[in-house]
Amino acid sequence: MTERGFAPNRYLERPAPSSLADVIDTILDKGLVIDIYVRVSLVGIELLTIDARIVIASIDTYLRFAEAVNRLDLTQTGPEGLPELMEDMTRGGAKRKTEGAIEAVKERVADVFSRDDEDENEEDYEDDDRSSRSGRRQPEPAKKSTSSRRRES
Amino acid sequence: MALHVYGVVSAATPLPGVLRGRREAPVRLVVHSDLAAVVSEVDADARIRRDDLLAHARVLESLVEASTVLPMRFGVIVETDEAVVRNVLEPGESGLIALLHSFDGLIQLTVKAYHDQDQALKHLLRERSDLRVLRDQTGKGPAFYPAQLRLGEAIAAGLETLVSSDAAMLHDQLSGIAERIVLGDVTGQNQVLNAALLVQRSARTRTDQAIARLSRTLPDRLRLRYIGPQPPYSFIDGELAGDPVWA
Repeated sequence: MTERGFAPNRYLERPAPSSLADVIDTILDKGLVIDIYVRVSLVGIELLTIDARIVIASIDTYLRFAEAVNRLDLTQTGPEGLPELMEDMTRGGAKRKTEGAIEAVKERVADVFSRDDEDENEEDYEDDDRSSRSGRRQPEPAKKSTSSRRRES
Repeated sequence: MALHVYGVVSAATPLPGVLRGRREAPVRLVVHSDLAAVVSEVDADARIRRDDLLAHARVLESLVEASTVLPMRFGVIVETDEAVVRNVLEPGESGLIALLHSFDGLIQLTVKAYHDQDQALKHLLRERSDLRVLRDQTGKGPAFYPAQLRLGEAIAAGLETLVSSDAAMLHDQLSGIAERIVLGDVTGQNQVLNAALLVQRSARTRTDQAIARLSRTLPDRLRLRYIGPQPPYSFIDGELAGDPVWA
């Protein structure tokens, strides 16, 4: 997922369009809703957004913080540039591990939606209110993806 | 085919020349007296892809550049033009007109602040000798496991305090810029603030400059993202808490 606009502060001259993460924050969560009929069709998506807010705080997190602090060199000043930040995210260094929880969450949300692009046969989220009313829509793919990601991170 | 409803505008709203919605379908208006719903054709059974979410946001963000827009939450699918009028515009008429009026000339701009984790940790260590002491007591290996945990826990608590104080500082700075501010959920351990600003469209340049100035004066550990213009998502949500206005 691109983090559009996550640039060094000096380039912040005008607002950027919403990224996918911003969109999940807003259009799935806010705005006018017609009536109960429409709410039903949104159930699957709402489950997703609630799920996406889970951030894991645990012993694991503490150990990662400790690791991050131990490798810090206080004599070095100045923030890392954007390229390094991005590299760190993909390279899987200590920073990546510390940020694991939130990164995993974002990737998972992107995952659930991209799944549609890749596999049209899979039972998945649809904006079809009939399937949710009959109770067929269950967040199985999200759950599966959650547990596997947690193990990885 | 059915219609995806993006939002509601006043009937006199001009659409930008070529406005494409979900799956590149052309966006048009369904008009009923003074109101219009912004719609495009969509397969009612279509799966939701990330492009669909982005398209919904892009359509609304294009319109709000020049017009007042009440955003629909993603997922409002209505069968026909008649059903749009019958289910959305007619029953909601007075409420929607009042909302359009109250947001006339206003846009939402969103400011999200994040900690650069390394910089935030460095700041903590520099400020707090007790954390440096804890760090010096740790080492490699299982024998140091309890010490590592103590350090990590203290760091996590310290970061949390730093997030609160930085959020309060930013909120304070931003409140001079906007007509109203709504703080949204902060969604990750590095996010410090998620603030929706309601500002006059005519004050956009002044707001851009103020945000740019603010971002230049922030300590290294803080990064801003500045998003918009958006329809007033965060402000409508509050007003419609509970039942929809016309339910």
